[in-house]
Amino acid sequence: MLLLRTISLYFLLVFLLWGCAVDKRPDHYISAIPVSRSLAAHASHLPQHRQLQNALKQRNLIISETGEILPINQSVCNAALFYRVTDATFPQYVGKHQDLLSGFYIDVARVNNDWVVVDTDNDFTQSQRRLTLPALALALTPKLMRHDAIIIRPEPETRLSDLKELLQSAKAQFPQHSLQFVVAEKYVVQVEKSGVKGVSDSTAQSHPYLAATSLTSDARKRVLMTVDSFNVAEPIAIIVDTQPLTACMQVNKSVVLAPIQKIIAPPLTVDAVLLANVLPSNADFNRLDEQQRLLSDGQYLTIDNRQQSYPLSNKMDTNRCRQLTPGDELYQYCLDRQQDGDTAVTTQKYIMKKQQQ
Amino acid sequence: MISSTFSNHAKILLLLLLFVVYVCLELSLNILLIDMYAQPIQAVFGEHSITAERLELFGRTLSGFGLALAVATFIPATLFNRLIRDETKKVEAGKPLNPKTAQLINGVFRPLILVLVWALIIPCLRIAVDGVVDTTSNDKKLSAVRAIVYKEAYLAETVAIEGFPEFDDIVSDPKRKDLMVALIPSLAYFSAGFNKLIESNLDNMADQFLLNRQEVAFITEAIPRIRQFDRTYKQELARYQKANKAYLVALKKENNYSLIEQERVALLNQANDSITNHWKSYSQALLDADNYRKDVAEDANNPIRKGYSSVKDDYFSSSCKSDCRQQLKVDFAKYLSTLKYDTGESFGVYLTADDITVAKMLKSKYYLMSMFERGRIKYIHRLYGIPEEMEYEQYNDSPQALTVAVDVFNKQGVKVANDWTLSDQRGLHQAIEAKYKGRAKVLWNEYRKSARFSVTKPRLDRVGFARLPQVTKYAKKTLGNYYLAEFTPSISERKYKKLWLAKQDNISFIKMVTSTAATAAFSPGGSMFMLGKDAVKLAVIPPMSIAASLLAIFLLFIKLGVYLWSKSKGYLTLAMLAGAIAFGVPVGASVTDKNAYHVMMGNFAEAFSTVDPFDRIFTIGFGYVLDVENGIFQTYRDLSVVRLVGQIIKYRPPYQPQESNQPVETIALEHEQYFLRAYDDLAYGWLSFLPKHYGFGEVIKPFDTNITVLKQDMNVGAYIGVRLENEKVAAVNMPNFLQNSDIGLLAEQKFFYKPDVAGLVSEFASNFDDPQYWLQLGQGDVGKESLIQKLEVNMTAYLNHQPSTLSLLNTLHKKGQNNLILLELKRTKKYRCFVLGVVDAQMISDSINVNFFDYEELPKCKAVL
Repeated sequence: MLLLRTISLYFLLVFLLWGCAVDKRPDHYISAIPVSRSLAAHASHLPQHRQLQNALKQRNLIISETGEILPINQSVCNAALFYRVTDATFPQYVGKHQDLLSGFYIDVARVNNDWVVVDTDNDFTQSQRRLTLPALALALTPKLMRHDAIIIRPEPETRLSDLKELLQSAKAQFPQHSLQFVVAEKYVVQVEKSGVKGVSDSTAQSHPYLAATSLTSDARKRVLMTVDSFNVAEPIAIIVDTQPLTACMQVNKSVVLAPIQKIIAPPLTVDAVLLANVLPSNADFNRLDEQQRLLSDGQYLTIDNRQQSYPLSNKMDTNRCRQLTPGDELYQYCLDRQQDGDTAVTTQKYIMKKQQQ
Repeated sequence: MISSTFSNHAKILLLLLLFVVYVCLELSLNILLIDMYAQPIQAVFGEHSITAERLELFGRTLSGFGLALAVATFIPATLFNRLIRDETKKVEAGKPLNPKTAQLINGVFRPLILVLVWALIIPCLRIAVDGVVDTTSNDKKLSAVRAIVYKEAYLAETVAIEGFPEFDDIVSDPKRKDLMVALIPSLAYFSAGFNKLIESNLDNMADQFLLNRQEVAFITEAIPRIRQFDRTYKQELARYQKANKAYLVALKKENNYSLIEQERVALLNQANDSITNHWKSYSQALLDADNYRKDVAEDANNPIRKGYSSVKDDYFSSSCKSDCRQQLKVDFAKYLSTLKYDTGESFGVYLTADDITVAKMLKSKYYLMSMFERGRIKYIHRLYGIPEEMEYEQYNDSPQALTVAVDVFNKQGVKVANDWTLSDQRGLHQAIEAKYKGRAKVLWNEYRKSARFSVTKPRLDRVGFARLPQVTKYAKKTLGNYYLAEFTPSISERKYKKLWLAKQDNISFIKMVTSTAATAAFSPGGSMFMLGKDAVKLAVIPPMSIAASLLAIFLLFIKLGVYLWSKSKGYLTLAMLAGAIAFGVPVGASVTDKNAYHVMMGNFAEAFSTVDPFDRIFTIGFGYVLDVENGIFQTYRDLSVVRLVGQIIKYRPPYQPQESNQPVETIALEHEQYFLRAYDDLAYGWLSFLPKHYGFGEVIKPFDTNITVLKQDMNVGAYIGVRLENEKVAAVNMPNFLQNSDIGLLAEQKFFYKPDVAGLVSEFASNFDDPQYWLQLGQGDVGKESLIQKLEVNMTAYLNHQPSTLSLLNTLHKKGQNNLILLELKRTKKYRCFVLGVVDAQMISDSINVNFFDYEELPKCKAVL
């Protein structure tokens, strides 16, 4: 009996001491993260655009719902894109522009104690528009995205008191967004003290600055630049309005990726998808109808509106050493130096000769 | 009678003995002279300079004795009458000498005169030689310089004569070389034909020497620099190409939306896999926790098991109360949780004090097994960061899964925002974009920071890289003086060397000192005064001394013969026989040798000594002298007497090995030498009034600065001697250079700046085709005196009006550099300036043999003439 009790006690102990193994294996595993193909927000999801959209994506491009060809995002431009606002109407993509734009740019002039949005480059008095800044803010605010920045450039020669006043009203009108002010270099520090990013309106070393008008174009309305540690100026932001793609292509020559398809002979049927595949990187993608017509002649239009032939080979060999021949003047630079100079050639005896009389 | 016969014999024997001693000494002198002057000038003036002086003193002493002996014996006996008071003992003409008188004259007077004359002759010879050297004309000095140049070049085997390979054979034969080298300067000096040959070839010869030296300099200095450049260049090119490749790859990714999307999808798939695998291995590890470390628990000898036993013992000891028991549990739990194997592997359990069971009922094994299993499960939950109660369904949305995903991204260099969620596709895309954004630029900046050439732009090919300004700049820096604009990273060394050599300024020392315009500079006070003296001494004195000692031996033989003829025919026969064997046989053999010098010199005279008969005879005679000398020199150069004499004057011929232990007695001899030297110097100083007294050897104070103007073709334009006083030019002396240069040169050199010039030049211009004018000019009638004087006066004023040149002169003067060479730059008034030390004969040797630039260029020199 005692033995039985002892044995049962032991069993109880063993049972208590022993934890049972836990099996947490599920019946089947499922992916924690859904892997979906994302597309830029400003891209069209219309079914008629689907094929073209896929082709354009391969070239860093998209088509918008209105049929405009745009960069797939701003980062492919190697610079931030800002939309320049001159009136209260906006392109269709504004409002879902988080991939394309970093924000908005506004030139304002002081007219009768109002800040008026103007459409000018340097001569702020010439402007005819009468859209005030608060009115614009009212129209723009619903379209703004979370990360949008607003760049405001008051007319040059603005007095400091007016500038302060503008700063206050801008802060009030765009309370959720970061502001940048383009001012004379001497005011930059002062502007930054009030919590607004300062941009110099002339070339500066320590701040971003607005590049001279000579560096702008029809598509690239303004350029903000900065000087890097090697003292090389490079654009950090470009201000665009109606031609974002052209502006982008002007800043970064390799925005549009190389064609994914080569054409050997003009094809019988030309459609937009084919064009998206074959047009060279400097082609104007917003004139696909004309491009379609030109392709049968083996021609295309560039962004600067020149008509060119399709290059036979997409890749130019940039290494001259593979093309030069020994007869060419530059060929020598492709060779290693011959180390043949360490034997003396002149140390023969001098032979004295009798002078002929 | 017998004693008289005996004394006669003794006298003759003594005389013969003295004669032999004298001949031996002369012979030694002769051989040592050849040995000495067969060496390069730099040795004669350098390591052997003191020995050369001793040898010279020895020579003078020896020949002085000979001369004094001749004087003493040839004085007629009647001359001694004045010294004899006793009338009866006076010498009377036509009568035999009174024996007592003879004794007086031959025993006292003649030896006395011998000693006196000997003592006088020693310094007088030196004075005479100096006088001869000083009175040598500048033209002859120039000839001597040429002779020396030829000798040095010949010795260095850098020159040959067309059609005379025999000369080359001799100089490359160590046995025959010395004699020829020692004596050739005299031939070159005295033979007008030979001298002309040298003169006509000297310019080209000098150029070639210079070219040789420049090439050697290029090989030793520029080639290593070029290779240094190449090493760096290749490194930099490779670095650039690597960076370029990396840049282009990065850039391609940077701007490619599709590629970034691809990466995003790939990353998400990886993250999903990782999240799943994490749970898989977690759940498997839980299953494996069964019987964890059972082997340890079962092993009675395992230290853990033993440790547990001792804990148990302590636990149940009577002294251990509840605190002690709790502490034991805490300690054991900590021990097991932190336990690690030697390999660093954790024991793999995590226990708290509550998990420690200490009881007596069962074996330790069972308690340990249960503790290990419980501890293991806890450990796994901690390790995987998954709470015990979490189920798989909760896990996929948990922060644990997010952490696993973020870890996957981080490993790939993708940094998502802190508030990133698993469903934030755009955020991930932007994070990948950010990874590549500016990556190319960053890579490029990294390259630029680490690279020496730090090229701003990528995409250059090799051709573009080779032509970068950085490359040129580095080449300039590395090559320094050896840089030419034609240098490229690929030009072959040989080609570049050729270009470089062609571009060098061939300022040749030899060309300068042998220019016909240079004769003026040999004048007293001129820059080459010392050089001229050295050259004459070197060209004339050694060969003359050698010839003289040979002649002395020969003459003494005759004198001895004449003496013995009347005394003893037997001794005469003996002496002549000995003489014939000692000298006749070797000389005869030398003369009849198939390589005999006289044959060769005969041919040489035929070819080159066509100027006058003397030249021809001298050249052929020189051949015979060489033959005679050769016979003697080859036979006796190793004679112990020669060695002994050499030892006394401390001369060690190059072929003789250095003796380690110098004999003690030489010290005494040195003392004697010292005495003789002191006497010689004293007497020389005392007697040096003589040349002045007889009107030659005018001494002129050296100029403060000697200016040599070189024309663009590197030929000498003019020499100017300048005296400075109070930092101003006090006087200018332009040696008589018009005698050898054309007047057009002067106009070219722009020395004329005053109206006189115009007159002079127009006179020259209107008359240059008139032979009469040239004749007058040659004779110095075209106001040569007045012209030079005028020039000198004008030059003085002119130099004082050139502040830069004046200050240059003053600076040089203060530094003790008194030879300024101005090289005209492309027909401007500007000059490149070089300074040169004191010009002496040693420089000739240096400029032929040694790789060293004679000239030190003054940087930023502002000399204007």
